[in-house]
Amino acid sequence: MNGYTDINSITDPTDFKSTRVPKLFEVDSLLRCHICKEFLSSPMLTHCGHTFCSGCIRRYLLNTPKCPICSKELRESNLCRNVVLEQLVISYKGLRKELLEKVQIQEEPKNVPQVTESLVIENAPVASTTPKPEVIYLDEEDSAFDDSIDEDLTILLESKKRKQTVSIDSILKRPKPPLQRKITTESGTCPICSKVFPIEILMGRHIDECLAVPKPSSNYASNSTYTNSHTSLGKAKSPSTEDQSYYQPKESNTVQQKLTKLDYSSLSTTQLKSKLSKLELPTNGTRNELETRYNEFLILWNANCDSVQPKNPKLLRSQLAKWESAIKVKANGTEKLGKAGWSDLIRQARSTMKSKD
Amino acid sequence: MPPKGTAQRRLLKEYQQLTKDAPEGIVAGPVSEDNLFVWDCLLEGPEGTPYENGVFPARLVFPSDYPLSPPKLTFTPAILHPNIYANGEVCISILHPPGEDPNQYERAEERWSPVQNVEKILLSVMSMLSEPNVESGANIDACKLWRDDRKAFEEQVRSDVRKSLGL
Repeated sequence: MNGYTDINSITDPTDFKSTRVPKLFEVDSLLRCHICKEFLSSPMLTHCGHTFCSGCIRRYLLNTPKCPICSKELRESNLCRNVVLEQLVISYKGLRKELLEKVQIQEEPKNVPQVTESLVIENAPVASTTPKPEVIYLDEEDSAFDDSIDEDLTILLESKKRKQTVSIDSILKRPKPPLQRKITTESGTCPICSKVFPIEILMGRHIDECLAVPKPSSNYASNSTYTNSHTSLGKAKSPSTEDQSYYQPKESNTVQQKLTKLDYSSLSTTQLKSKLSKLELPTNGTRNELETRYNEFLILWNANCDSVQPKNPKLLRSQLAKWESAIKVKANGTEKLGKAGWSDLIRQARSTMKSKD
Repeated sequence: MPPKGTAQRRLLKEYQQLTKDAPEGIVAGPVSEDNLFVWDCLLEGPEGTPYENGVFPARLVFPSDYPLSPPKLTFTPAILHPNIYANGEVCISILHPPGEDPNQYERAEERWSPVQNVEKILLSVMSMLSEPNVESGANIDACKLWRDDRKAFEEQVRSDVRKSLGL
């Protein structure tokens, strides 16, 4: 991963300033966290009415028990999930790229040469499917969705690919509607394994099969999913099935215990290490490193519990590892900078001495 | 180094925003793309003040846990002002975290919090240039001069500005 693609993934509200609807700047800013300036991830509402990413506010409250905006006293226990807002952010993130293209002042002729005309027409009614796979690539961090959603999307991606391969056929045999559209309009999400299937298969043999076979990745599967079966099936018949992952978060899957803060002063290093190894975290490093590791994992974990789309704990661990290596790089970086800063200071001191003479 | 961490991503966003939509009289950006934690800034002296017509270079140095902790702002070279130390470092409430209160009379909401940003810091510094706060002075000599002999203070500032412009 080079720096260039990273920079492209870093968006900011001013993208809309030079478009036909500059006011979208406000919408874009309002959906962002005041602390990290990214789109809110697992937004939490404070009792003073402000909203931050769960991770950002938890990290801040570790050291300062106050609201960063109004400085009112604030504890983690005062935080409350804001589910609708989270869904709104996810939905907006999915359409942002398309929205930005649509409101651009210059009409971009990009679509015309690449896609055959008949495809454009075919795509029109189901246009909402096209931007969605891009969500995953827009923001690197977000590629770490939970497994089931990844599967949904790969299915969508596949159906999109197939559409392109059969496009010539479908031009020739106009009267026959493309097969894939049938699938997307009449497919449904299995309430047990969360995969997307054509409705006949889903209602016919799949559910029986799925109930018979215990789900291999049962990390998130819980009994409460059954209560959802009605709504998922009901929705499956509606044309907007493909949006289901956004509007119908798999909340029932989030049965996770939050981690608690540790009182480090009354904890020996061996005890701390055993806590870490219970969480399957590395136990190497200095005492200080162990404590910061636990603290950061606590934040990642608890923020993940707040999400409507919780990630697999494995992803959290790799996120933690990335964070730690970033911290180390940063530490080295500032050291180098320090040296440069010193030589700068010396130069400045000398020049001011000269000017005084 | 790719901008991976929270601090880098946020600094890059602020930079993007400042390049597209900077307030008047303010230019700021990272010294090099490899290190987003050091920025150079240019501030225009506010109109109607002795600093008018001056262009003041300053350096912002961000901590690795930005935005949890505030950056440091230093004028290079230092300028004569009650709230700027002799080494150029700016002493202004927005750059102080709420925990520490060196001068006891800063209201908490004027302090650093992660919701502040570079733009707000530089705007506060611009308003600090127009309205020094001698109650929490950093440069005692400048404070005295400002309070006791405003004319001499302003004359000194104007002559420093002329010198800095090579006039």
